[in-house]
Amino acid sequence: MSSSLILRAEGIDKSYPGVHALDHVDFDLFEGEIHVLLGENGAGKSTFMKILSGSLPKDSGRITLRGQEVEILNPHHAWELGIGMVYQELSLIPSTSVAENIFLGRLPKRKPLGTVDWAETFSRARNILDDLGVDIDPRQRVRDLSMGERQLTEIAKALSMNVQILLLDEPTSALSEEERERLFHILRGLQEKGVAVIYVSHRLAEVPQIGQRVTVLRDGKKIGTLPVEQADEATLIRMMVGRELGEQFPKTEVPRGRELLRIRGLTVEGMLHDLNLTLHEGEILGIFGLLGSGRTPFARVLFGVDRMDSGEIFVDGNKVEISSPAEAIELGFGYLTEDRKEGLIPHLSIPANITLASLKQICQLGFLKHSEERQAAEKYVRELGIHTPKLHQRVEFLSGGNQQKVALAKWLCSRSKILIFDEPTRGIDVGAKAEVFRLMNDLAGQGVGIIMLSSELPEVLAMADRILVMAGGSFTAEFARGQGTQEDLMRYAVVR
Amino acid sequence: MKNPARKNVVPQVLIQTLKTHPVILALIGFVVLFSALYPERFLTPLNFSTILKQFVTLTLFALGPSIVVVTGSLDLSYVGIWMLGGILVWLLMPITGMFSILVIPLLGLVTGFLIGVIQVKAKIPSFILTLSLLVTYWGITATLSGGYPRSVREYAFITASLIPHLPTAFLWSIPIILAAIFVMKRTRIGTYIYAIGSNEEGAQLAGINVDKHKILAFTLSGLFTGVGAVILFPHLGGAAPVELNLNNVVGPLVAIVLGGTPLVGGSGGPQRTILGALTYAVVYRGLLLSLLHPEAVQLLVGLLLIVSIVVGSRGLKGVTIT
Ligand SMILES: Nc1ncnc2c1ncn2[C@@H]1O[C@H](COP(=O)(O)OP(=O)(O)OP(=O)(O)O)[C@@H](O)[C@H]1O
Ligand SMILES: [Mg+2]
Repeated sequence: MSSSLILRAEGIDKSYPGVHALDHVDFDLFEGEIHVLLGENGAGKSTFMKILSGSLPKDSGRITLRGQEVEILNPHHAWELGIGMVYQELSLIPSTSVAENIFLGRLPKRKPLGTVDWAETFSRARNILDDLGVDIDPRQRVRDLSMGERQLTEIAKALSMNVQILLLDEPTSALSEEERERLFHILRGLQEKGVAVIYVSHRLAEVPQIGQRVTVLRDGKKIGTLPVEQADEATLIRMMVGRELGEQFPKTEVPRGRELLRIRGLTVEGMLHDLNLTLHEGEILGIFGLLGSGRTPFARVLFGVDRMDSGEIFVDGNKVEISSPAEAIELGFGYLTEDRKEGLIPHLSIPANITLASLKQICQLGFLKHSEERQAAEKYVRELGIHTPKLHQRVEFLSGGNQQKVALAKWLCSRSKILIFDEPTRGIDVGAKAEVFRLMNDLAGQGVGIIMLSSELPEVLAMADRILVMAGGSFTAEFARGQGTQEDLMRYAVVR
Repeated sequence: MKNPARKNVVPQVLIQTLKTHPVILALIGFVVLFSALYPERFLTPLNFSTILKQFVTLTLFALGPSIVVVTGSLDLSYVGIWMLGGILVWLLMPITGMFSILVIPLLGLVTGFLIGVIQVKAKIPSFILTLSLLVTYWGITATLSGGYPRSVREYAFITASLIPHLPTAFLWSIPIILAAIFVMKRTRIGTYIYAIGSNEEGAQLAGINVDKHKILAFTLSGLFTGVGAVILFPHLGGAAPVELNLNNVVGPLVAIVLGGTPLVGGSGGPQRTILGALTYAVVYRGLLLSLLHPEAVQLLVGLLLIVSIVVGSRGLKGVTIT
């Protein structure tokens, strides 16, 4: 690479109580380079990026920008220095419009009074979104967007900043294949203009597609930097995890048991159309759908969060009415939400979060039993490899992937019979993914029925016993295990 | 999981505690400051007893409402329950005799439950709702009493002195404080209340009946205020008051926020409120001992509320308050 060094970080160090999140990390970035940053959950990736974007102070170390040492004070200062970031835990304001979020703090002004130029705001937002090739109305409120759309809005916000250094923390975790491709296309365009990108992801397959060099962090230490040509998946995993990993998709065949769930003609006007499905004991039913296919609305109706207009639901052969999550849980449902922020209680500890949906069983006469809570939590912290300085850490202080594991553990702990997992592996590292799949197998082996909503084709194909494809609020195709290919599924996912 | 070197463990824990409970530092600071400023008058048993008395008043008013603050709402009805309760005791005395005092906890319970139901069903901001209720209760009190403070001497025994310089009301407040902490930290209801304050949607998705537990939080608040007011009634003179003293309304709020329960909810609670109440009582006393005008003292107390809200809402150096 002949281009010049744009950013160098030396000896970056950062500690939280009980965690050495970054241990003297050195890092450099060239003009026009896309540099992938990898590491297990809690390795320190987000911490490093937040230090570069001015949203966290470092404890020690030096940052030089084009040969000049700088002290990055806050995100606005970072932006003035030409650094913009897409945060892992999206930083949008739900109650305001997409356009306002994109231009937050930089809204176009109209002379002479300095009032906001709304027409300009919306048309510029429209342009940026068009460049991204996404169909989101800039006037829509962020609250009403799906996870993927929020992520695209966040990316649009960073792109609108016209920066020289772009920090992307898991920008594609909620995006479909197609949207990811479009983002890559845009990134390559920026790259030609000399923009440098640091790109964090847990999708190893993306590394050769988009990056030129890869840096791996483990437990806050830099393990090494490689050009992508030398960075095959096995090497990267060894660097990230420190050992070889076994089978990625440990699928075991489980005999199908009784019927657990039957849905007949579930309809929500204008959103979900006449959905029918059955789920059996020991079965993993994959529902594959792209953004806006209706996966999440379907899960919310099934779990009693939202109402359906017509249709029938049978659990164990009995017709049931589900009008609240409490009732759904009573009937044996569990629901891992797509947005983990929705499902976690940030101020409560890991054990309290894990046991929250099972407190009725764990408590005696309404009194907490801390020892049992601790035991349950310890089990899942161990099994899922939740990386935390102490068991009673509040979940708001965990890294994104570790929060996801806590959210997952809550439903493993609740002994639900019917589990609805919406993107269960979103943002979790390779080692933990295999562990989650192993747990799903175990659960299926114990007779639990799992509905796995996912936009990850390889995961659905590898793990599901049966796959329903969803598009435009309807099921468009059904495949038995081993029958459909990625192309088949994709074809039915995009038809209207 | 990394273990810091062994010798560092104790100071680490200490530093952590102080970081998450900045009010402890403030408390120590004020005690040292006032002791240095006027050693003769501040470091006396009489003075400490005065501080404890005010601590009791603040705590018993603030304990219940601090449960409601954890859910992210506000309950200002406490002074109203104490006033109306007092006048009801005076009215009932000739009929029900010594049992009359029980009307106060009953009133608290019913009031809290009603506030909860109205708040949940009508979705009125709790601030306006409970403020209106406070004014309403004050009005009823004034009407029932005919405009005069009505004294009831029969319950003076509750706070009769047992140990010199140690207010008996303080002894009574201990089990009430422990009960409030127990409810919040050791029961399922407490956990649910924290969960609702921290992330209401998440709580609902975990199967928690949000409305029911919001009502429960207000009910608990009313109940604790009512039980506390049984002590406060004789503690504050054994007379059913007819004047609304703004100090009694503002002080407990300061104690809650100063202790580190953010008004947005999700963390804090009774165990922090007692720290706030103690600090407030020390500051108030220290300022009164100074040469400042009482009005100036009020001004400083107002500033203290503002500062503690700012610190409480922003956290100290990125440390969010537990
Ligand atoms: N505010 C905080 N307080 C305490 N500890 C924290 C805080 N933020 C992060 N940590 C800890 O620092 C470590 C690094 O976290 P970081 O978010 O950088 O991980 P990450 O590599 O981005 O992981 P993920 O892939 O899960 O997003 C973790 O162990 C985490 O628990
Ligand atoms: Mg991260």
